[in-house]
Amino acid sequence: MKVEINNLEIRLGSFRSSVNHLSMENGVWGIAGPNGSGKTSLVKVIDGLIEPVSGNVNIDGKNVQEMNYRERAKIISYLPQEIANPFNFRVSDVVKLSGYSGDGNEGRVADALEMVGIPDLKDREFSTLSGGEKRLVMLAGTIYQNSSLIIMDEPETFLDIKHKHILKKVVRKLSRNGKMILVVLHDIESIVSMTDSTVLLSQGQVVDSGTTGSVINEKNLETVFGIRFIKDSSSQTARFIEYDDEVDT
Amino acid sequence: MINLRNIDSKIKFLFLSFLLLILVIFSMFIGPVRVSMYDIGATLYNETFGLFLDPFKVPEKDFVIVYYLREPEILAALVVGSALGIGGAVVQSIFRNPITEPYIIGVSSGAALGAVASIGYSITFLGFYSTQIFAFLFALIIVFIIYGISSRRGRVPVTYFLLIGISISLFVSSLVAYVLITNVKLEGEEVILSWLLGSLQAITWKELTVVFFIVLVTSLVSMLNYRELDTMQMGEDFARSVGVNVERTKKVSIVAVALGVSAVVSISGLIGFVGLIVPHVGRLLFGGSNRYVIPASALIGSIFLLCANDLSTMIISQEVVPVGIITAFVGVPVFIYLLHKLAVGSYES
Repeated sequence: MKVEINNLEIRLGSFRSSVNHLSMENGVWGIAGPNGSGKTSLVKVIDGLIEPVSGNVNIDGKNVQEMNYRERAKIISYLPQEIANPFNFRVSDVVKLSGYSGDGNEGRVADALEMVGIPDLKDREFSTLSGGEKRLVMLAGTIYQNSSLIIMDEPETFLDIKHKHILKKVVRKLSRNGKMILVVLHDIESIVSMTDSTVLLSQGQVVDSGTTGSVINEKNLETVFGIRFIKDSSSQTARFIEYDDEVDT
Repeated sequence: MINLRNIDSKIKFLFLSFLLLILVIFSMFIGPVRVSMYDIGATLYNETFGLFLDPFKVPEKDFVIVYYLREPEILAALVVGSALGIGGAVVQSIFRNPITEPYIIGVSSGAALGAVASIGYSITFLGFYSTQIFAFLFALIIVFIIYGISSRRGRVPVTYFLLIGISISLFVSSLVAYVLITNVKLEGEEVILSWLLGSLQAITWKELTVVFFIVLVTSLVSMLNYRELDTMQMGEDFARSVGVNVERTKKVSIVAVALGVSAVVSISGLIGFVGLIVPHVGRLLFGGSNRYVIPASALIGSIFLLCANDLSTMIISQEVVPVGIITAFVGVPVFIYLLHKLAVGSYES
């Protein structure tokens, strides 16, 4: 699967973002950058939730803006950052909602919940779950939707260590099953451990994109976040630590 | 304590339908004048097999009471209760807000203006049903004005719609007050008061038939949209991402609710509280999916309004209290009780 963005311009109130050209193909892609850098806007345009002022997003050569909602939902699923509280829905009801454009199969609801490690919550009232559990239910929904591109907007929010671990495993498994994943992340460690490739954004512009190893480096991180990072040489994997000049001197 | 959610939905629907049937039969006997079971049965027989045969020789007085007063009143309770209940379920799903009701989209203020203006200014050029037609048309006009003002670049943001709806409704309500203060003749006062408080008295078969068909069609439209309305409870971005055309769903649903509720309000006046609480009772019994909540709201709305109407007839001898007073007076404590007993955590987070 290939996502191509050309001459994109997004305007949301006073916020502006422009992406001249960006190409992402297969695997797990991280969308990273500081708060307000346009990560959510970018993934929402890719899912057709925001209309860009100009430009287009093509998925395997098909323009996303020209697809209707059902066509899009068959190709792309979206795990939103904000999770609403519906009236009196059980967990299984919420997962099933994601199958609106699909065939709907009771067995797959249980499978999706099993995959995210919460099969016991199937009959629980959704509104009584913790923030992290709700996010896992929504993640199960995106699995249930069974699309080939899965977009996750800040999926680690409210997750404890165990659930973060499950999330990483799920992302890897989905990727092995041939799904392409775009994941908006804040935490640099998560970007490094979860993604194959990364798009680094700052102030609505793409600063760099490519393999995560090449994009996440001291120079790029300092450019984007405005603070210095140093690579943790004691760590087996690539790990960056904030380097505070004032404390050090 | 038994969790009512765990009981099979079919059994619950069957129980509600049975309860409604019992209430309908019971309500046939309720009224200031006593009519015997024999005469009620005979009138029903005559209606079914031809009004002019009358083998049981029903006294004309009893026939008039049963056929022209009680039956339309009971059926009106069912039609009005259904429309308000369904309207509430739909509007609460669209706005993702438990304290909204169908009147919030401008129906009540618009209908009130139409009705009060037609009575206050003695407008009768539309014939016997001028007040009803005026109420219906004004309700629709106000809803469409609110919808039009709320549209922004092809989308109608729900919070915006809600705020515009409340503002325009207050604006229209001040017009209603102005018409009331400056123009109402003394003989129109009681009619207006009864209309503003809501009443099922003196509804004719003719108007009821028209309203019944409007409510039937609009209810079916709402029912057909249940999956879309369910996904919208998770937020509009979520609904779009799973393939729902959110703006079309909003438009179709609001038009359906506006038509259905405007139609019932035009004959019953402003009966409050039904559209607010009935969907919640439905959700407490059946869970949140509109697949069950919409038909359940129709049944519970009918049951609730019929009970309230019977009480409004019985509460003071030889006097009928406007049913809108009873719906709130009885509905509030009943609803609070149900919320405490049945919510099982649903409303606590």
